[in-house]
Amino acid sequence: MRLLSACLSFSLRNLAQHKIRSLAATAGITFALFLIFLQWGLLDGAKRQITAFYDYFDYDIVVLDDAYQFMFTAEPFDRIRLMQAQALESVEKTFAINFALGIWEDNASHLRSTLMLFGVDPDSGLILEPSISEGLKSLHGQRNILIDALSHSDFGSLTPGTRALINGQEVQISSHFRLGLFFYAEGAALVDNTAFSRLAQRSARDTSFGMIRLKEGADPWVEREKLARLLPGDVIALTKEELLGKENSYFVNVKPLGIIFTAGVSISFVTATVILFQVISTSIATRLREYATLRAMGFGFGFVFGSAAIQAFTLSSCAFAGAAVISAALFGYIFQLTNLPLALTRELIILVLGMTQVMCLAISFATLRDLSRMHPADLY
Amino acid sequence: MGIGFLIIWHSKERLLFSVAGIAMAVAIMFLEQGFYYAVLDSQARITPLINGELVVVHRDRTHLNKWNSLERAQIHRVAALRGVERVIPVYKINARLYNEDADRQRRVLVYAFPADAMPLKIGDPDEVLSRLRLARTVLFDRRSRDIYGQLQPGTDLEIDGAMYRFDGFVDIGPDLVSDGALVMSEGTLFERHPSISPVMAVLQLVENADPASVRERMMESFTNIMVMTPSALAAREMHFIKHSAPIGIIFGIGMVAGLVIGVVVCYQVLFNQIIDLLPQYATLTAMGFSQVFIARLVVEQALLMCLTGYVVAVPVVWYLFTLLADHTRMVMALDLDRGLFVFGLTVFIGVLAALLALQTALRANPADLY
Amino acid sequence: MDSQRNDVPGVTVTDVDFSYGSGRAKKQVLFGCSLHLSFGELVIMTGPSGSGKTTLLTLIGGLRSLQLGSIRVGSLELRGMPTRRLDLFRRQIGFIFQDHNLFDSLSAGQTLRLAMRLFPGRYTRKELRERPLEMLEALGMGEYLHARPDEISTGQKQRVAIARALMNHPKIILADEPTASLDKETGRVVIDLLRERAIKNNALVLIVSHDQRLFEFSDQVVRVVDGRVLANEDEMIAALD
Repeated sequence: MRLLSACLSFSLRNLAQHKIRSLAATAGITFALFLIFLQWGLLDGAKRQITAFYDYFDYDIVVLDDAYQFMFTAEPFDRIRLMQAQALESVEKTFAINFALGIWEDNASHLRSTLMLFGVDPDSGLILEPSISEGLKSLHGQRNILIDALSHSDFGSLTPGTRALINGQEVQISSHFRLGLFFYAEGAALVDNTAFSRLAQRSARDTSFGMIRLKEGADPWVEREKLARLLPGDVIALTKEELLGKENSYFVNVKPLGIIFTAGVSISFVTATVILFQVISTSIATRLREYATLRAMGFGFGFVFGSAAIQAFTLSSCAFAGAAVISAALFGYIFQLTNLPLALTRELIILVLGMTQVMCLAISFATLRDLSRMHPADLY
Repeated sequence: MGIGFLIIWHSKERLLFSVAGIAMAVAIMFLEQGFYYAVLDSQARITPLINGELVVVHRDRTHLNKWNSLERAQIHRVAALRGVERVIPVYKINARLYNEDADRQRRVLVYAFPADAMPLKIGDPDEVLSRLRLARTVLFDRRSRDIYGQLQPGTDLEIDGAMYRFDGFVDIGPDLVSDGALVMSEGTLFERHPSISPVMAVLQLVENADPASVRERMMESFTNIMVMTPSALAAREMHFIKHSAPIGIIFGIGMVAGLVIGVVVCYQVLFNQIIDLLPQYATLTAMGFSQVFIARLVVEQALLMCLTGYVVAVPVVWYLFTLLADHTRMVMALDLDRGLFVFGLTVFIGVLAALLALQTALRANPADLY
Repeated sequence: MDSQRNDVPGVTVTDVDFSYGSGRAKKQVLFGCSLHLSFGELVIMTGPSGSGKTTLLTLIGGLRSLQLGSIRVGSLELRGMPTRRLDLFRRQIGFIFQDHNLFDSLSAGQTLRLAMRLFPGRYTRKELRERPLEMLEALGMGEYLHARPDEISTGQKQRVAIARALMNHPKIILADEPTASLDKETGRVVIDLLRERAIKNNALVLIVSHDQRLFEFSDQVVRVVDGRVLANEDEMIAALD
């Protein structure tokens, strides 16, 4: 035990002695790790944004058209399917949401922009997002809409009371919600389903997404199977998890930004590996003479290896902390500018920390292997 | 000079590490830049394909993703102007393509134009036009993303519920929003959408006509249109995307991170090496070499490492670009200007790292050698 | 001090004080040192460790700036000389360190050519090619023109270091324990070389050393004890015979 503490204090003192060297080494790893955090954050943030709308509601299972790929191309199906679904014991409530692409025309500038139009059933407790549930209450009159406050500036003024055209029909903004999906369209608006059928010129029986909430204790996966068997083949049933996964995978595998962000993550991991390797092995190599002296003095390989490992751990942990701090600072800034919710998820932290420490061990071992073969007498 | 080279060449392992690290930093900068331009280039993708001297769009159509359209009658009036040989209207709508092979319905862009002239350079004119002239025939953009399944020319395709004959391919390329495109004739389109208006018109001018003056005359005669050359249109598209989507920030930060990594790696290697050779640097000072000499020595080493890193990175980046372009169907191009820009950044990395490391080399006190 | 010596051109040290550090940590190491060394002499500076002899050496070599007193080298006064001028001054000095301090990445020939770069324009391209080999041959190291430090022995490394010091015909050669890591035979060779190549060219060779064996080869022995220069010893030695 005394040996361990001796090893620890030697290693740390050695690091502190060469302050600038240690600092430079740490800085290198810090930015390599930061790059991972950034790229991962972008990908993760984008994925979360993609499914942001789906998170505004409380449901366990969703019924969709069987040709569903991603939200943007959701085909409507007949509302009767939702009613048929209610035959299932475990179904507590159902809720229909409609989606269509539309054209928004600003009255002042006459600029036309692409619009995502959502229609929802009256709130029966399945709407989690307060701005939507509150906003729906104030939808008096057929012309009122909720507008996505993050819609593109081409939409013109978004203050409540402003009038505009959706698909050529007059509407009036009554309140805001936030979505910000700039990947697919320039803005979004939300109305109740009656208004939706009028604005989108669709049948009142249309449903794009059939949300189902199950009773307490019901297992979504089990019920999903039951529903799939119960309902005819022109619709499919997915659990909420499956839906989000599907949406994400489409984005990541098909959409160019998704591919780019994913590539960014891979590249940052490769880079970090190279940088980590380079920094740690250089750091050890410059101390080889000291380590050899230790061996000459009689310390075993374990001591030397432990010392190198401790130093590597210390450097990389400091770097990790630094990268986390920089990320925390920058992510807020990026969010303000792009509305992408970048965050350091727990899984990312564990993954990166684990990977880093394992690599430190491996690199220390590999670099020192030569030392163990080296005879201390060769120093002189 | 050459001493610098000899010094870094002597410790090959360190050289390998430094080059690897710097190459990675350079690669990152290239990639972030590449992504940025991929988005820009793809937005303006249609513009290099324009087969005419001028393009007419609705004035309110501030960018090509907007849907403001021209009046059909206007097209004829424009055609009557002096200097204009031909006006070709181009229509664009979204449609749903169902392919049995993929058992899926996918959203697709549909371009349409009269089957007697090519407003876009998307294939061999004779072949394309002769095919389009046949009733209810469509052509598919072979550069579309892979999600549409296998398409066999000669088979039938279901578009928006109606059947069409699929007769061959064209070359266009998707953008950030749409995944693929089809081409049909104006007549075929009118069958389902009789009152559709064109989103733009391509103008082919008579020989010796001056595009600038034709443009002026047109803008004077018609107040609700914008007339520009294809390259001006491209520039406008890129400008729009730059200012609407925050891609500049996203990729800019990535690029800065790459730059910092490059500086840190280069500095680190230089620093460690100087520390190891501190007595030698002190000896140089003792012998009477000036600070400038030592500075040049350090800068030389830094630049050698950085330039080697750059040279190593380029083919790797080239390969990655090819992969990504294939995967995303976006334009990932590496041209001289962009290569030079990153090259400049690489040199900057070397110089900055050298300046930072220089302190240590100069502080080597020869008196301490005794 | 022998007043005769002062008239012969060389290095004249007058009343030199020197201290390290400042304020409460200030430590004076040299107290009123005065001595004269003539060009063409081989001088040994010796004394117990920490006596200040190394500090005196660094001051004569222009590696440190003078604080108090004067050091004249030929007609140049080192006191008050700006750093840039000191750099240029040092080009006329050949430094030999105990640890040779050769660049591991440079061969003997490249090392010598580097030394010649101190005087750009002095040498023709032909000389730049040929002089390194000449010098190495003169020191018995002709076959090692392309050898790097890790390929030769310590004694050979020291010879390359000496060659480097001699390349530009320096007026002064300052050596710190040049024979410490060498065996008796090689040490002897080193001293002979210095005599041959430097003394014969009227250079001053100043060696700081504990090696008593060297005393008999010297023209002057300067003893430095506790920061003070004692009367030179050659008369003492002569008196011993």
